Amino acid sequence: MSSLQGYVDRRVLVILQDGRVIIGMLAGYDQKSNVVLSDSKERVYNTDEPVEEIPLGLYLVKGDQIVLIGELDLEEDESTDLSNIRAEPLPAIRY
Amino acid sequence: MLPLSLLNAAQNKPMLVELKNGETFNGHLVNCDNFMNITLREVYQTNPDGDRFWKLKECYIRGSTIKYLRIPDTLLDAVKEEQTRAREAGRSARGAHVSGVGARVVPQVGEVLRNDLAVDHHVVVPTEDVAEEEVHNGTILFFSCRRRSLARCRLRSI
Repeated sequence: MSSLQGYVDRRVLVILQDGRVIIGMLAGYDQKSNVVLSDSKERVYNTDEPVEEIPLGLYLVKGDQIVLIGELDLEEDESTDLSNIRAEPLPAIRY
Repeated sequence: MLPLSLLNAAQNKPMLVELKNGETFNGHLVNCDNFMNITLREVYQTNPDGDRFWKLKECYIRGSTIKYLRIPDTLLDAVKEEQTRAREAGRSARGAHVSGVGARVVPQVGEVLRNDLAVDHHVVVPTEDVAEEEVHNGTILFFSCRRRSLARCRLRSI
């Protein structure tokens, strides 16, 4: 069974069912994939504006809302210039 | 650290709860349970569009309707410190026992323990009554998350 243990205390990117992208440090998780993110920020992508990063602080996200959790490559993240990125925001999930 | 243990430690603290429908509730946490059902007091409710507001003295939110909770940052460090302090207190209490046979190991609720039988087999003590009963010769009865059953194993804190 795969577990989130390998991601603990790493910076991760979480995608929620409403299309939101949250980045934070994985402080904890449980069997239902509820997740604790510390020092988290939301990244809002836009087609005609630079990426907006909204600081959120300590976040407890319910597991049933999570689509994806990925480990962030810190080096690559530092080197990307967010002000130059234009992208369409993710739509919400459709069942 | 478990999300539910963080929530339990957040009692009486202010927080923001967003529901799946986009409504937000700002208030102080009164209580919570294993399903993440919560009761809040002194609540400011906002509709999804952000243009209507209500003030409620108390409200009950069913855990299944919650999308996320925003909690004060200071809480994470406070809870982590409390967990390490509780662990140290438990360890020193254990060390104070005279005989080695039947050394009482009392894990804390929500503590993650390692099973001697399998190194990466994480088990979590679910409730206080399970933790305190059946302690015998350094073994304990607890609920194994992997096996989803009651199991008896030797304990060692991570």
